[in-house]
Amino acid sequence: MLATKSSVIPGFGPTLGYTLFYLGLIVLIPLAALFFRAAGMGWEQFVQAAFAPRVLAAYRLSFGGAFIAAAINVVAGLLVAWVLVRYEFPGRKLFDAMVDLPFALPTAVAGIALTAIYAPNGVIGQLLRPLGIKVAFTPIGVVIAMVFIGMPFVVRTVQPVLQDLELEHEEVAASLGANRLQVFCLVILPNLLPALVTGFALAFARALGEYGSVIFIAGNMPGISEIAPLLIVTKLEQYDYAGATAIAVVMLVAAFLMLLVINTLQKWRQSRFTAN
Amino acid sequence: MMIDARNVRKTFGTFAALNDVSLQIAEGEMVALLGPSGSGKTTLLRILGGLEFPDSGSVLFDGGDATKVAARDRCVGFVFQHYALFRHMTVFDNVSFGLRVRSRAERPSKQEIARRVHHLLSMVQLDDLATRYPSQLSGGQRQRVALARALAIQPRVLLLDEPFGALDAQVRKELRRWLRRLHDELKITGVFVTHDQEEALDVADRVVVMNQGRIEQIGSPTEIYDRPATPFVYQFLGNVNALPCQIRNGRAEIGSLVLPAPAYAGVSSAAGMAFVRPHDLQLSRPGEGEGALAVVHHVTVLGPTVRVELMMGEQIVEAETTRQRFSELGLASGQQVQLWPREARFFLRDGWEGTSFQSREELARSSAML
Repeated sequence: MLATKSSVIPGFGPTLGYTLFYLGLIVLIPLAALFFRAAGMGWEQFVQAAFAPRVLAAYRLSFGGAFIAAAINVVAGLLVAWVLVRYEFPGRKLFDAMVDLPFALPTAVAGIALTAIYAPNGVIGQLLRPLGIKVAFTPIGVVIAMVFIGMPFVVRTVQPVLQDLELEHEEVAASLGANRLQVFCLVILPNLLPALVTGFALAFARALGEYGSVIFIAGNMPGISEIAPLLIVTKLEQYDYAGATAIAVVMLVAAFLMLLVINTLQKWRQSRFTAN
Repeated sequence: MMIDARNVRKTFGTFAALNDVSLQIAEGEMVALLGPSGSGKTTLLRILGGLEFPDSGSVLFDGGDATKVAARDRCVGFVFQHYALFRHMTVFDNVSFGLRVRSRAERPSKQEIARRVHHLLSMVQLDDLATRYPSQLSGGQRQRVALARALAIQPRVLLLDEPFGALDAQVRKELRRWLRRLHDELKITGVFVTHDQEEALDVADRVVVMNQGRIEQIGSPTEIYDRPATPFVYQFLGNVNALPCQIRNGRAEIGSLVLPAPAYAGVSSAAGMAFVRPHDLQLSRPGEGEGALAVVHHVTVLGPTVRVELMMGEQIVEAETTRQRFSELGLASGQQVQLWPREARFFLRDGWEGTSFQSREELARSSAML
């Protein structure tokens, strides 16, 4: 057993029990029900529902879009966190609070707002139209909505780590002759990497599951700008519960595997230099 | 390398960290900046290293102005109290960092880097730990890695900020001796900050005593200890009894004790302070020879020496004597003894308030040895 009877931290039994109960009630039981539902249909039926061409296109958009959005957020979020931590400027607290807005905003509101400005007659859409760039009602719009809702995850995971970084490391690197780029790439970035990866995973997961803001800006053209969660809702509306669960199961398994890989990589990297 | 800091000032907000500090460091010298926290010693070191820039004044390296030169162009080895090792790099990568970041034209070949790193690591006796990560090393080992890393760039000067402050007494002593030997071998100019007087006296060729952003005294360890220039240096280095006294025409009166103070012959009457080291207080039986009477308050035996706390009137006085003398006198609490300072030094109190001392130049001129 992990916890011996003489552990300094008491209450292993009750806390583990509570954790398992809670996880079971809130997470595992609903998910298990999902699998049961899917298992109720035959294998052929399942493949047909979960891997139809239209559904495959939706997976591609959902996973691909979430991946691109999370990647954009890692860069942009790091930049925002950097500015908020490293510099003193008027209104910093205000900007800091604004970072959380995508968390708090009802996603439909975000979707409507984004659609309004990126539509061909919107504020930004108008400027992009002469350049031949269409954002709203295309996959680009989907990615933009995903970037919007995922950004706070990266900022909020990187910020505390950046705050705790010791300046001495940068000073010592500078005195050893490193230029700014080298200090950033060789000293700062490796220390931020775990937080960046976590932020990426969170932003990715959030974007994958996002529904409200995306459907407004996506246009939802089958095979082009239709996301997997929307397909699920569509199937539900058609009372095709089995089809909906089939897609849900695929998404669930894929998302779980990706998050597992990210976390394992993280652990492995961490253990390389913190093992004692 | 020769270092010349001229009239350096630095303030943080309203706090004056350095107040017109000038200091010359000769080629190959090992200098200690000694002082309490907040005395400006670390700020001065950081200014020398280019990690901080003075508000006014200048820093010259070998006669050339280096005041505005960035840290990365100074070729200075900096060692921090908490090592500041790169956690995600092995010992080898840490030490080779300064060589790896050089531009391609200046960078030694891979083999040359490996050779130099292994040479440095064997010098700090860590060659077999090259593949370890800092978290797998002890404090003393980490600090040696930090030193090797600083030396790898063949710095013109080595700057150490409380290098042994985070280590336990045993390791500290060992590293101190080791640093001294290293310095003697490499003949590198070194400046280190410490608040530990023993460390300063032990390692440095010259000690700079700092207080409140000013330099109180510069001198060799013996000079600093034997002839402190100011009351501050007296009290900061070693134990000392500070006894209020009255100075009258070349004589100092400490209670019933009257001592000659020839340097103050022109002073008709002024309040002063007498400084006497505990080991300069001679103890004898009442009635034998001269001195003032005092009562033994407390006795502590510290190995070969005995520390005796005495009450001289209202004043607590600390004396140190040998074990042998102690048993000769048969000292015990409550007993009366006679006190005589073999050596004492007097500083005048300023004006009527009697709270602050005179400026140190004046004090240095008018102070006297018995």
